[in-house]
Amino acid sequence: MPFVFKDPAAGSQTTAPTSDTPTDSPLDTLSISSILETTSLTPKQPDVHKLDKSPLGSRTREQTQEERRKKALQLQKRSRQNQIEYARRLAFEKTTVSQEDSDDEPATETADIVDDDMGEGSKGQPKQRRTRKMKKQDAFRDQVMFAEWLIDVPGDLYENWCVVPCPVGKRCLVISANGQTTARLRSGRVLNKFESILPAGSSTYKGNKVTDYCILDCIFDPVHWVFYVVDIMCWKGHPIYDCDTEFRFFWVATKIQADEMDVPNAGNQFYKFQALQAASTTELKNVIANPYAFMPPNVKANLDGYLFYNRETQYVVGTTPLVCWLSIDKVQELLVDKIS
Amino acid sequence: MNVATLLSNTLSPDQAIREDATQQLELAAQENYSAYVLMLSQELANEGADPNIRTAAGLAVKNSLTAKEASRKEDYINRWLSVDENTRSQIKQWSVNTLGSSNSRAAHTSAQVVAAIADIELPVNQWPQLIQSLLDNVTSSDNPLLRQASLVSIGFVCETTNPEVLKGQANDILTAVIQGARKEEDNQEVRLAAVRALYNSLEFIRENFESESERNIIMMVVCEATQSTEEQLQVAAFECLVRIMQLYYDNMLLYMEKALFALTVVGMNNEEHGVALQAIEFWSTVCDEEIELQLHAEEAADAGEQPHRISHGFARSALPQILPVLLFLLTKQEEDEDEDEWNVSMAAATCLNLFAQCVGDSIVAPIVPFVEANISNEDWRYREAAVMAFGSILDGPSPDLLIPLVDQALPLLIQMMKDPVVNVKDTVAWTLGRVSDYLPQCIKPEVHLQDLITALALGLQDSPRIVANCCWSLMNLAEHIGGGDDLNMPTCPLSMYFEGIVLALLQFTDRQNNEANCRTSAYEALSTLVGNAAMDCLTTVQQVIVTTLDRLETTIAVQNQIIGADDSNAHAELQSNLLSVLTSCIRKLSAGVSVVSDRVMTVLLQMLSTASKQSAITEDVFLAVGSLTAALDSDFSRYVEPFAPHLYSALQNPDEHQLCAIAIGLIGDICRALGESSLPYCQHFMQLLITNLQSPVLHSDVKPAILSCFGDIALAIGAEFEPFLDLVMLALQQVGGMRAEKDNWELMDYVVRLHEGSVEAYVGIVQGLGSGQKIHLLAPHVPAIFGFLGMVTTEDTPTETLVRSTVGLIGDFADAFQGGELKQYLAADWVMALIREARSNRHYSDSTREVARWAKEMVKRATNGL
Repeated sequence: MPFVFKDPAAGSQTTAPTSDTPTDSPLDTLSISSILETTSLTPKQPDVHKLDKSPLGSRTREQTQEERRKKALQLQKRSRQNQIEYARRLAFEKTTVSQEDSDDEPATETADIVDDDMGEGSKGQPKQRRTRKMKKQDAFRDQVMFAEWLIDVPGDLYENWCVVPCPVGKRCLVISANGQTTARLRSGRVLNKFESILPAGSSTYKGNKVTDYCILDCIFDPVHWVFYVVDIMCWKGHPIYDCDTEFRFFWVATKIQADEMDVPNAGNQFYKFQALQAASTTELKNVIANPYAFMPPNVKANLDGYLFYNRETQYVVGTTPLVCWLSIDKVQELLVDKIS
Repeated sequence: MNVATLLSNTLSPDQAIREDATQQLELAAQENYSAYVLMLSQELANEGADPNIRTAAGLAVKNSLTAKEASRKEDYINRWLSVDENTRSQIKQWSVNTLGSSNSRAAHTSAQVVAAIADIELPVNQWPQLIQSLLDNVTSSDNPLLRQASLVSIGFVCETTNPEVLKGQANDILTAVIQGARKEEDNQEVRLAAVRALYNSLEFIRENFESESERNIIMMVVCEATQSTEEQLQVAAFECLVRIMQLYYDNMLLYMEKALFALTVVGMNNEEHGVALQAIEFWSTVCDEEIELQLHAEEAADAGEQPHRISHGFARSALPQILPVLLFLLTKQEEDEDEDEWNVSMAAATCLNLFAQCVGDSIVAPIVPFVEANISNEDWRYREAAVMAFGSILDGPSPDLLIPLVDQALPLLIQMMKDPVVNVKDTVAWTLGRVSDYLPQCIKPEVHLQDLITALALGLQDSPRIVANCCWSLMNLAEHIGGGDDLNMPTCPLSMYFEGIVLALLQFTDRQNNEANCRTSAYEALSTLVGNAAMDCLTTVQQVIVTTLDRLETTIAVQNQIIGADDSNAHAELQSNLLSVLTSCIRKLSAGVSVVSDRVMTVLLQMLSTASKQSAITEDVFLAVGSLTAALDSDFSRYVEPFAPHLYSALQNPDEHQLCAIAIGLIGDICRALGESSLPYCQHFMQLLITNLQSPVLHSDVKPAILSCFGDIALAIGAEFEPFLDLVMLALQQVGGMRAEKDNWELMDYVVRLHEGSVEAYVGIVQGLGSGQKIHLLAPHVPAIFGFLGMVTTEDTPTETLVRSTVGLIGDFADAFQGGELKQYLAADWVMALIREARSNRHYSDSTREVARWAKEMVKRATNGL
């Protein structure tokens, strides 16, 4: 059967309701009132400009329904767009890697000094330096969930928070897709690209390199070439960022298994992945007293500070008050003195 | 039974007799139209018959000739033209003769019959002598009734017949009409009929109007008629002036200076309301035209061109004289304002609003003293007029100028919500609504918000009209200073009042009465508030969804007890309102809705099973289901099984095309939510979509959505789309070949929507097959697809949507074929040009530029690399 695409005027003609409204029938108009109306010697009043003094009250049911339809359509368009762009963003990621091979200028290192700090600069961090390199990689800029500096101990610290002791390193986003793994700094700049043992992260990966992509939030220890996994956004194509903290940490703990991800193999010669551990804040005193006991075994980097996560938060991009950073030199002043 | 008795029976107060007579007449029309219409015409011409019966007969003839609906009209034309010529001649003769009847009603009815026949016959050159004979009646008859009826008939002919057909006789018509309209015409009835006929002929006498000498005569005759002592004639003359201003603004400079300005100012002060209303309408029209011309000039300036027409700035130069009159008229309110009855003070307010939009800033200074002097006047008329004047100028002048004034007035306005006179309160509520709509930045959360919200909440206990306007204000506040419709705003200025407002609205809506749409307004406000709630109000939203579900369940429980059309309409409207709130709650709670989702779905399915096929409720239920898919994502899967049958039946009901369109959107929603798990349903979905695409009866508006839906399905099921690929490609190719002829705007718009839908389909298919490792299936289609894309983006000017999605699709292709397979297509000049255009066009949105940037990289890689 052929497909039928007609012009809308013709379409509306054939689909006009077949049941006649009374006034359309030739004889039904012969009611007294309609005769008086149509035979009145005064012609119909021409339309005049009229101010609507009851803009909401005068809306007809059809109008409000039409608005609801439009709203739904708009939301549908938005979700369709999001879905499509999501796929494209992954593809884009590959391109910028190859592009930066050729034309990334070397003089960008200074800009990253601030970027790989753990917290936003509310404590006298020199902000203006960040503006020096803003041009490229916008798609990946500020994609990490960034902590605010802990200024005050949250009132519900023991009930609703957990704590992650963090080693010194650069905060970065690690993406494995299409047989490659890329680490990006907060600025979006590529820190490194390599093959890794992560799903879809190497050319030798056995599964689906396109759909099994992963996105991890890590701290990179450049001395020992270890990525410490703090948080997880996607694993094998499953989005996890909309799950709450505890679930994501559970996922990190189960997926980034010791002895699996931290051993060199054919595809991963140099880089190791180790999961950081979240401890309950009820153990906070023990954590502070002996932080290395709550970090991955054999951790070589020094302790940099603590990330406090609200248990309920989803992974949100950008700075959030639901994650707080406490650097090691402030522990005494801001935490120990207050909770003891 | 003879025809007179039958006709008289159609006017009987006894319903049975009336229906029987109507039926018999209908039968007669079906059996032998020619005899039927002849018989009726004879009755109309029968001077001895009862005027009521003659009128009924004439109207029956007229109604057998005219119809609003195009297809029916076509049938009537053919039916009439197939009546043999002698019969038609006879009928025409009788009707023209009856124009001279001593009974004015019969004469008037036959004027309508003449016009109805003329509408059919003049375009096909079948009644060439008609106009001349009518004109002869006007110019040479000494029977004033015949002259009058002939003029009325000319007026009807001018009103109904295509102006192109009459153009050739414009000179003669104009001459006759002007002769009757002159002040030298002694018979006022004839003069009135002539001025009204002139009104109807204004559109097709453009050529005459362009000639200065003829224009001078027409203007003189109309202006003189405004000076008549007969009210009806004055009104008709002012109506002509309004129409002339609309049609011939460009020619009005001279006449405005010489006459129109002065006589309309006098007209506005006329004691006869009809005259004053038209004189005010004249200035509303002037403003309307000049607002249009300003927009036109801005557009031209944007494009670096000279505007074709220019504004003479009549409104601006008349402001000092007109404004005092309008302000004076504002104080002439009726005691009991009936919303349906148009009155001078409302017309003046309308005109003031248009002046504000037209002249902008310059209206502010002269209005302020009036407001200040009267807003606290003891006489409510002055208080109301002051508030009305203030509210009227909020749209037009620049916010910079208005903000300090509103800032200053706001506390007093809020106070005035307690005015003892309801008319004042009504206008205050409307003004507060406008402030929150146009100048929400004036409402400072820490200064005004508490008092404002308290006053609005109190207003919910006032009269229904005031309630509706308070709800409008609340709605505007939610939209402008609420948390927005995304789901990450932690708090907003409304948050601390949110629960209070919501509870007040829930309490108010718990009532039967919906006078002046007050309950509906309250539900609409509630829905908007929920939709714009910040995250710290989610607990309240949970309360709302539970109450809404309770109420919906109650409406379902009483469903069977509803009898009668009015009650069932009211019941359906209530359900629509509740569903609208429910949908907002679901969107806002997002995944959080899962705690009550079983209950939600049960209610929705119940409503679907009891709703009738053409019920609007089904639409609203579908919208709610759509929001549920987005909220629950893959968790929606357990509801698909019971819901799918309703979706299928909506897709098989082409009469309800709006519902069908929503159902198609829902398929997309379900596919997005379920991803690959939607596969078991896709076979059926695709089948129904294809059938709908082939349907000749389904409204064509729906078809572009079907194409986009193919893309949604392909994206969800990836490689599994293979079985449908060939058929879908065939459909898309057919769309690709469609063109609209120039000048057919409606069709052009439709074809653009089809093309946009096609590109969305291709995007889904390329991405879907790409991720499913089946992209090679598309290779044979690439030349045709690129041919199509090149065509739609280079012919005419493509819409931004089309550019964005096409550029995205090109990027998707480049990404899917990375090995240089598409090099020759991707390197085409138009591809580069289109991407460059999308990156650099300053009118395009950031997202378009973003997509273009991405596509450029993809294309670069696929053409340079490897």
